[in-house]
Amino acid sequence: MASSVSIDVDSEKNGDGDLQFQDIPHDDDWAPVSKPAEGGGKTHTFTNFPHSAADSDDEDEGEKTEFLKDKKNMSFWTFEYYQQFFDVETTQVGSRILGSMLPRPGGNYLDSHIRPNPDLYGPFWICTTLVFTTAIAGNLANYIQAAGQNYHWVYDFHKVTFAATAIFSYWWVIPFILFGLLWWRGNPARYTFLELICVYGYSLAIYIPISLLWVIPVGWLQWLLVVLGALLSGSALLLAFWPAVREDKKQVAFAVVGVIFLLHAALAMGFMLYFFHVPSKAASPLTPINATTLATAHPADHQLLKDLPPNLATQQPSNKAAVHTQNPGQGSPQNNINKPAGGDGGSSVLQQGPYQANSLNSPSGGAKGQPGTVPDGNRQQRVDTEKTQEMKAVGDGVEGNLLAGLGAKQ
Amino acid sequence: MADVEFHSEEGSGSLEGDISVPGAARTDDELSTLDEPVRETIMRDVKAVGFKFYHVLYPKKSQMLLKQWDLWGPLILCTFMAMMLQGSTDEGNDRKTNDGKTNDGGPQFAEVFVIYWVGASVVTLNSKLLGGSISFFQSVCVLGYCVCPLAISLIVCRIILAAATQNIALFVIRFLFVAAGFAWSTFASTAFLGDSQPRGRKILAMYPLFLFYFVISWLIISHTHS
Repeated sequence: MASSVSIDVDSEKNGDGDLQFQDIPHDDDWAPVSKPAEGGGKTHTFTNFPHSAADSDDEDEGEKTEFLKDKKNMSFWTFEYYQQFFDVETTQVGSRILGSMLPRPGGNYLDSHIRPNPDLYGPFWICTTLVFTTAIAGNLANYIQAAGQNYHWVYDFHKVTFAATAIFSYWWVIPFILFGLLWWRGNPARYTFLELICVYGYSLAIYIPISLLWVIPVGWLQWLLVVLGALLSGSALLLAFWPAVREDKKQVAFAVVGVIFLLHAALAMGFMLYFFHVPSKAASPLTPINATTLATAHPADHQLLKDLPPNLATQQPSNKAAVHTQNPGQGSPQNNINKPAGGDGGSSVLQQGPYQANSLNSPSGGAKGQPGTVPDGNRQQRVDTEKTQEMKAVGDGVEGNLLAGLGAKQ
Repeated sequence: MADVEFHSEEGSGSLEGDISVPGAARTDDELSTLDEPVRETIMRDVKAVGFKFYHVLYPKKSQMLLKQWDLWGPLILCTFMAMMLQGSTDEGNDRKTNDGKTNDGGPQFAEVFVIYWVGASVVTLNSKLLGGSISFFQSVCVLGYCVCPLAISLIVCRIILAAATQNIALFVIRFLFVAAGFAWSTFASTAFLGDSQPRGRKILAMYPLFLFYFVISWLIISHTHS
């Protein structure tokens, strides 16, 4: 603040103990004073407080920042305290969203768009929207990938809870860590925690249209979208955080910036792989006999059902099984759905009879996912209603059979 | 010491009137609700709820919904929808997952409840934080009542699901009904809540409404187990 005055109370420095009260030009230093002369409005001048991060941008804006400082002193427990975080107009939110998606080289997103008025409206609703678009698009992608198979696909509501946990954790935890790091390093750019949260929230905005585009079941397109999203919003993030770390040692600065970008890209990759990924397939056509296909969607849950040992298969002479070889590089516990190249048309997709094709939360009683142990990702699909009865019979012993089957297949 | 002067009051006769506290029951003239038949008490509330449903289904700008809010309607709707939308976890069907339960992937009863009430509260909080002039419970009341068209479309979907084996055409019909319900709900709630927002933030306040009804519509359209 250009107008702040530091007050030396010299009285204590007097060696002989005399209290010599100097003629200090201000009436009252320790309490806010009204200064009607300044700018015509009632202003409060705090002169003895440490230079907190919230005041970093107040060099030019006398009245407004005075008012802001006033606002920040409202009690944490009042409703008005939280209203200050929602003090945005529609156009402002729109421009912040655009700014996070389209980084301008040399520009600092935080300085140009967020300051001095960070808000929580945009980040919160962007995250909420992203949760629902990811879950809905994930279900849609799952459905599209499963189309043509002869079973009754049901949606998975619990994608919502999973996506919500992931997104909201990312939105809060990473800025928290980053703020801790900056605080440890002295925070030369004076970023507040609220501003970090704001920037991170807006940086997720680009994933909303990307998550809708991820529905398209083309593998290379999905990867391309990952790269695009991570680059665009990641670079906006980096440009925003570079001023905060550039005065540090080179290694630390680059490390921090690198980690920020990596985490951002990892989030995108994680979403794509978990909700949307289409494994490349080299499959012989699957010709299901009956209406029910024990399609395997989630390795963690359906490892048992799909990798039955061959001896079970031979016991079912009417059973036709298709063996899909999967790309060994995709052994990750993702949403791999076997898509037969041919199938019994689309007529049975909406059949009745629930079967969880993609259960994320069914706690596997017997089997835990063993994605790493499946040899070359071999999957087998069994198509038979008799198979289901056999499942019942096999029951808990399936795991043992599975392992035996794995051994047999080796 | 001020002079006290007594002026004669020209033109006024004897004082008349009632000394009564405005708003307090005048026990001599009105029965309290303890004195009336229970049926009347209940029917009064039922009529109020029914009146509000009527106003939601044929939304005209009326202050009725706002001024006398109640949460009976939202509770009825929420319980109904949660019962219909909950995913089944029946055991012993002919198909099993490896943990012995069929699971049609839908939300639990409690999850629908939470989405409904927490969703309505969050949308209301949002509009209040943006500077809206409506009270919390009024807004929750309106949001809750405006789910009624979606509940109707849920009933229609259930009927369609139960009536015939599914195919693409029936799915499209269901989708259209749910879309119509969604549009109706959103339109009704914006008609009631739209004016309470400050200018320049209307879209900011309306978007969460849209998202709320969209999520409920998605739950309805995805529900395929009959």
